[in-house]
Amino acid sequence: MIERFKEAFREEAGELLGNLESNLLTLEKDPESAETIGAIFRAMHTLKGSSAMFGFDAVAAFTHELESIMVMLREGAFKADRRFIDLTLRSRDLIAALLTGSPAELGTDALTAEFKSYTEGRIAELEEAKRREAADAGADTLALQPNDVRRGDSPSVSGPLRRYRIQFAPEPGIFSNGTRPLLLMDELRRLGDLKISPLSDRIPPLEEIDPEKCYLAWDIELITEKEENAVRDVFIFVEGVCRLVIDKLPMPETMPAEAERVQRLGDILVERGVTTPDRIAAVMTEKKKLGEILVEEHIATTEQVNSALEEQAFQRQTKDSSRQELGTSSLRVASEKLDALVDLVGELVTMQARLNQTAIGLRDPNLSTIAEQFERLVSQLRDNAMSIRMLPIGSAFSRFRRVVRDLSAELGKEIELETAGAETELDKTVIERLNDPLVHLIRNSIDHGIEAPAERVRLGKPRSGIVRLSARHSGANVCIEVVDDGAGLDYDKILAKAVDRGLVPAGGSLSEQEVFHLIFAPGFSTAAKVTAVSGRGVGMDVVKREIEALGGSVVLASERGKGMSTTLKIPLTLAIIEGLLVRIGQAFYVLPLSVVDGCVEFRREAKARQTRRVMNYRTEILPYVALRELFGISGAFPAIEQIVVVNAPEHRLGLIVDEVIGDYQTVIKPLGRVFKGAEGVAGATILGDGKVALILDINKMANAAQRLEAIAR
Amino acid sequence: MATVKVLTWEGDQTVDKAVERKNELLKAFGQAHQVVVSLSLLGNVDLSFIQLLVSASLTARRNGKRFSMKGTVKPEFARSLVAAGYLAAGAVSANDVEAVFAAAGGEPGRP
Repeated sequence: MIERFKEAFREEAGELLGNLESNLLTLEKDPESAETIGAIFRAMHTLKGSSAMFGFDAVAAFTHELESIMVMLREGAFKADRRFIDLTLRSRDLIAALLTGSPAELGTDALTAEFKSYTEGRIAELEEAKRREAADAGADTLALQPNDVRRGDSPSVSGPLRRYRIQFAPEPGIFSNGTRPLLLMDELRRLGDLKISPLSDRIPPLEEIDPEKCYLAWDIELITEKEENAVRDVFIFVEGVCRLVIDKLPMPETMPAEAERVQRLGDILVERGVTTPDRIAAVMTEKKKLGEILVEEHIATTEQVNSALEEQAFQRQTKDSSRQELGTSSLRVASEKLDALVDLVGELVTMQARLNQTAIGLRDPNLSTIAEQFERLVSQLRDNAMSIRMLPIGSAFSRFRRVVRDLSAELGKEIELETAGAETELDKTVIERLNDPLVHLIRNSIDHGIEAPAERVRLGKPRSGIVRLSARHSGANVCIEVVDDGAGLDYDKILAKAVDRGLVPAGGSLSEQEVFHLIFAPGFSTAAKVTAVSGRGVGMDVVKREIEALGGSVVLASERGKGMSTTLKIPLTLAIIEGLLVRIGQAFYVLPLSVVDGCVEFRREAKARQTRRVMNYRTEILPYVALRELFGISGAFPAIEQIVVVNAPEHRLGLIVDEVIGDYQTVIKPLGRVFKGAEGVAGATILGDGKVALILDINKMANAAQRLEAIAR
Repeated sequence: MATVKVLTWEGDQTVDKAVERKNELLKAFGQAHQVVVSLSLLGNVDLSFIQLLVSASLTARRNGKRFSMKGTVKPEFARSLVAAGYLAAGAVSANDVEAVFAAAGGEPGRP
C-alpha cells in the first residue's frame, strides 16, 4: 500500500520538478521576477514537505537547505545569475535522481556545500560593494531591503450587474442589405456574460429554402454592467429590419427571499409572451413534464421550450457560481486506467457498427432511429475518451528549453529557443514517442546547423542563433516544425558522401529533396568529427523510422547559408479513426476519411477504350488505380463501380472499388508481427459481423502501385 | 443510387455561395442515401450556411436519409457556430456539430 502512495508522490514530484526547471529557465531571462521566484520557492517548499511525509528523508533534508537559499533570494540578498541557475538546475537533477534511485553526479552534501559556498561568496561581494558605496556617499551602511512581492490588481467592477432578456428576430431580407447578425452577437458578447439560444423552427427543408433569406431568430440572456442604452446601441442599425424586445430582469440573487430560486419554466414562457398563466395552470394538472405537454398541445414549439430551459439553466449557473468556492478542477488518473477505458470504448464502437448493420438489414425504422441515436452517443463517448488522452504539446516543448540551454553552453554557442503552438493537443502516447526524435532534431540543429557566435557575426547574422519549435493542427494530423537559422544542408557535401558510401551512383542527377533524404540512411553523417552531442549518424534514420511508425512523414527544406526546417506530419491519435468502408469482391477495406475527397461512378466499358488510366474529376485530370487488380482479387466486377478520390501527402488519385458502403468509425488494431511489413496497410479493424477489414495507408499503397506500373511497362 | 456522397467545401462559406451550396446539397440527396459533409477545410461561415446545414439535416430526416458531418472542426468554423449560439465555446468535434443540427432540425424524442 505504502509503495502505491510513494509512486503517486514520485509522479507528483516529477511534475513539480518539471515546473521548477521551467521557472528556473524563465528566471534566468528575468532575474527580477518576483512571481517566478515565488513559484520556485513554493515548489521547493512543497517538495520538502511531501518528501518528508513519504519517507524520502535525503530529499527532504536537501530541499530544506535549498529552501533556505531560496528565502535569501526571495528577500533580495542577491539576484539570480547564471551560476545560481546552474547550481539550482543541478540540484533539481539530483532530487530527480534521488527519487528514482538513479546514480547522481554529486551527493547531496557535496552539492549543498558548493551551493552554500556560492551564496556566501555572493552575499559577501554585495555587502562589500554596499560598504564601499556608503563610504563614498558618507552615509551609513544600508540594510538589505526585502523584495516587494508584486500583488496582482484585483479586478475592479465599475457598476452593479444587470440582467437583460433579448428577443431578436431579423426580417428575412436582412442579408441583402449586408447585415451580418453574427457580428451583432459578437458585439453583445463583449458587453458581458451571454447565453444565446437560436430558434430554428422557421427553417424549411432544402426544397423550399431560399438560402439568401434569414429564417433564424434568437432568445438571448445577457448579464452586464452596462445600461440598457448600451445594449440597444448594438442593434441601432438594424432596429428597423427586425423584431427586437429587450426586457430588464432582476438578477437571480437580488430576488426576494420567497423567489430566491431559479425561475420556473412556465414563468419564463409567460414572461416571453409565449403563453398565459391560465394555460400553464391548466396543463400542470396533467402528470407529465410541462415542456412535453406544451409542445404536444402546440402551445409552444420545441425550440421555445428548449430556449426557456436554457435560460433556466443559465440562471441556475449564475446563482451557483456566485456561491461556489473554486475547487480542484483536475484529478490524477493512472495511464493504465485511461488505456483500459479507451479499449472499452473501442469495443463499444465495434458493437455500435454491428447494431447499425443489423438495423439496416432488418429495415426497421424504429431500430434505425435507435441505432442512429446510439451511434451519436457512442461518438460523443469516443470523442470524450480520446480528448482525455489529448495533452498540449507544450508539456514536451518546455523540456527542450533545458536541452537547448545545456547544449549551447557545452558547445560555446548562443542559441534562443522559440516555440509556437504549445497549446496544440495530441495523443499522450504520440507526445511520448515524439520526445526522442525532437531532441535529436534539436541537437542536430545546434551542433551542425547553427554556427559559432564569431562565425555568425562574420556572416552578417545575429550573434545568437534561433531554433524554432512550432506545432499546429492540419486536418486530422498535427504538423511539428523544427527550424533553425544556421548554415542549412550542404547539397554537394551530402551527395559526395552518398556516392562515397555507394548509396547513389556517381554522376547521377538527383533533386534537392532526394539528396536531402539521403541523410536518413543508417549511419549517414557528413560531420567532420563525432562529438558527444552528435555526428555518429545514428539519429536521423531512427527519427524517420519513429515518425513513420507513428503513421507520419518527414519533410526537409533547406536554404544554404540561411537555415533548415524539418516538418513532421503525424496523426492526432493512434487509436481510432474516421474511415470510409468500401468493398472489393468479398473483401472490405477502410480508407481514412481525412484523405477522401469524394466518390463518383465508374463504368469500366467506357474507360476500357482509353490507353491511359486517367479520369476527369471536377476540373482536373486524375490518375486512377483499380484496387481489385492491385490486390489480385479475382471474380466478376459489378457493372457500375465507384471511384473514391483521395488526397495523400504525395498523391492525389482515384481508387476503383466495387461498392462504397459508408462512413465508419474504426478502432485501429495492429497487424501483428507476421503482417507488420505489409506495404500499403496501416492496420486492421473488426467489422460488426466479425469480418476483418484492412485499413489502407494511401500514400504507401499509391507508391507501390506506381512501382508495379513502372515494372509492367 | 450511390450509398454515400461526400461533399468537401473549402474556405469561407457566405451568402454569395449559398444558392450553389443548396443546389449541391439537393443534388447529393438525390444521388445518395447518405450525404457526408467534410468539415476539415471549412473556414468562416455566415448564417446562410448554418441555415443550410440545419435545412439539410431536416431534409434528411424527412426523407429517411442520413446527413452527417466528419473531419476536424477548424477554429474559424467553430467560432461562427458559437457566435450563432449553436455551441458553447471550447473544443468542438464534428459529432458535436452534427448533434446540434440534428436537434435544431427537430429530432424525435426531444421535449
